[in-house]
Amino acid sequence: MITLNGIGKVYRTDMIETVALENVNLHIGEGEFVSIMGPSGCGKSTLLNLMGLLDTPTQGTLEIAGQNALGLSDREAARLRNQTLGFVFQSFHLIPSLSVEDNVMVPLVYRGIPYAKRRQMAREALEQVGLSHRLHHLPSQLSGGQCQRVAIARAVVGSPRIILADEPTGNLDSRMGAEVMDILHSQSRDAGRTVVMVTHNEEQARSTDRIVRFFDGRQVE
Amino acid sequence: MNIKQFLVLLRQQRLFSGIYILCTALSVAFTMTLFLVIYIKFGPIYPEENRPRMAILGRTNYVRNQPGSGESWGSCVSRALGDSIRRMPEVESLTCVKASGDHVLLPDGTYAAVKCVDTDTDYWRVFRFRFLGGRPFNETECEAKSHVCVVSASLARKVFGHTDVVGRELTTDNQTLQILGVVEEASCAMSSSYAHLWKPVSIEEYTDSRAPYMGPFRLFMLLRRASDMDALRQRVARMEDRINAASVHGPDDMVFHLWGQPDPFWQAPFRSNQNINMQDFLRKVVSMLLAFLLIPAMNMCSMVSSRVNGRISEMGIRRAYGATRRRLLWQVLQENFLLTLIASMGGLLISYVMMIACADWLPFLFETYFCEGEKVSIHPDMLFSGWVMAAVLVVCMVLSLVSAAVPTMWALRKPVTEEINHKR
Ligand SMILES: Nc1ncnc2c1ncn2[C@@H]1O[C@H](COP(=O)(O)OP(=O)(O)O)[C@@H](O)[C@H]1O
Ligand SMILES: [Mg+2]
Repeated sequence: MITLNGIGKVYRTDMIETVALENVNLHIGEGEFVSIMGPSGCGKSTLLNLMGLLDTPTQGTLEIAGQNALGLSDREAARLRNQTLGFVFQSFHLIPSLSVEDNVMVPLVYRGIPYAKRRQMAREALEQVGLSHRLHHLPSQLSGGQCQRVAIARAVVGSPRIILADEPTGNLDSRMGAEVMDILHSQSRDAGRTVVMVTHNEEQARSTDRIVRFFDGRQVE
Repeated sequence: MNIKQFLVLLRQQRLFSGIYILCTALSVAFTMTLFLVIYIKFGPIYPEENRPRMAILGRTNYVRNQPGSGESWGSCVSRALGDSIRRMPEVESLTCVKASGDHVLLPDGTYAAVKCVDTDTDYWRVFRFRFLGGRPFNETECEAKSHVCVVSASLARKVFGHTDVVGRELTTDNQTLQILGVVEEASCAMSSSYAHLWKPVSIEEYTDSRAPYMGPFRLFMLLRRASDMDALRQRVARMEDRINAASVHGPDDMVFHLWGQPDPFWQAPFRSNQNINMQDFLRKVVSMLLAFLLIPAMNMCSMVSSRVNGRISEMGIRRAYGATRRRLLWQVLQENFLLTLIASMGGLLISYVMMIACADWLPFLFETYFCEGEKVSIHPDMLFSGWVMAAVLVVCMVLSLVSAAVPTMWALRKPVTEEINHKR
């Protein structure tokens, strides 16, 4: 589903060069639930961002769903993100001026789905994460756990084949974290989606199909 | 564009939106006031609705055909010149106008000074006065130099207390005139036609045989099409050449000059004897526009860029979920256009208020003509017109484009991750 070959990423800011990733080779199969672990600053987020076409690698090749994912035009990249990928971020990244329902509808807007259909799909996704009673709230009126559930609803509403989650439970207490993990597991198990999750939690990681460990920009396991 | 989000943003960014709307409104208010001043000066406004097709010939010069003599006479023009030009195919109507002052006897036995126009029947075709009652004077009355007149509504009220005065008599300094018609009052800012009293030309023209085209009149002509202007000018210039060729033989002969007249209505105010000088006017207008429009726009650019800054993260998120750059740029432009439009309408209102409050001097910002001792009225057709609306939209478009497009395009060049994690 996702294939990285010799991927490297160097950040250049002014005079400093930071090697965030070096020669990463990784294959993630369809329907797999993979955990990525490693100390802070070892390049886990960078890796996820590259897989999600939110940034471009300085080296290597990347295939997503059998398609070369590098060197795409803005339009093609936008289309791939929209149709195939769903993101969950550590700090939720909901749009503060949109209601819960409207936040979940965002990916559908860029698919050109008509409003009524959009709203129906968003409500179904919010029901899956147990938030159908908060449709018209703004993100600022929700708790962290609720925000992350909204973010997951947004990630899955368009039925993408891949979900990329960067420390989705990092900002949550253990009870809310467990809820979020349950949802991700059901996405993997019941909907057959490919899930790639960055985590610091060994227990969470062990519950997934495979753990990939990183150290200082290199894959160690 | 999402109206719901627009309203939520207005609320969430209350301070920013407030300042933005205020600055934009002020900038638009000044710009539109400037536009209104120019529009009142040149736009199709009662009773000078024909301005776009109007041309003016007001001066002639005769210079002695003898090098070094330096003798030259200048004045307005004669009816004979008007008669020649009236026959030209580009001209639909032409009127000879002599403006003067007169005094009118009031009921209390005192006299009031009035602005008076001596003219012909074509006057009422070139200037489109609306008659509240009665009619204009006709050919027969002009030929006969009948003692008849048309009065403005304000003069009728001043003398009789009402405007239903057709058939009544009006006493001036030296004659008694029968009132044929009453016209709707025009604004005193309409300087080509503003008067209280119109009479058939009664003065005997004094003409010097050596300078037959000198006289007391200004000629206002209505062209068949505005685009006929050049053709008419050329035809008049050829006539000028013919006249000079026919008369210039001896050293006593005078050479006749029209200096490129007739002028289109919008150029006529800038004529100083021999040529048209619009540079001073343009310089003033451009520097005012700079001050009212561009400098605030640049300020707003930095303000909007801080607003865009606050939303870079949103743009990154939207891109992560499938928005293209172009779509996001379009969204920001639309939102900003709507905000600017709201502010512009406020600004237009302010400019209307300024125009009405400063009616005594604002319409004359660029000229020396003042309506001395008169109250200047601002009529609805000076403020509401397609041109004014179009101008507001253009100003609004320029402001919102300059202020939003640049910072947004700049922000959208970064990789998506940097946008998402952008700190405010
Ligand atoms: N935009 C950036 N510019 C410069 N350096 C960066 C940027 N993003 C990340 N880095 C650096 O790259 C390395 C990997 O970062 P990251 O992928 O965020 O690590 P992790 O998510 O594993 O904590 C770190 O050293 C970090 O400082
Ligand atoms: Mg990270």
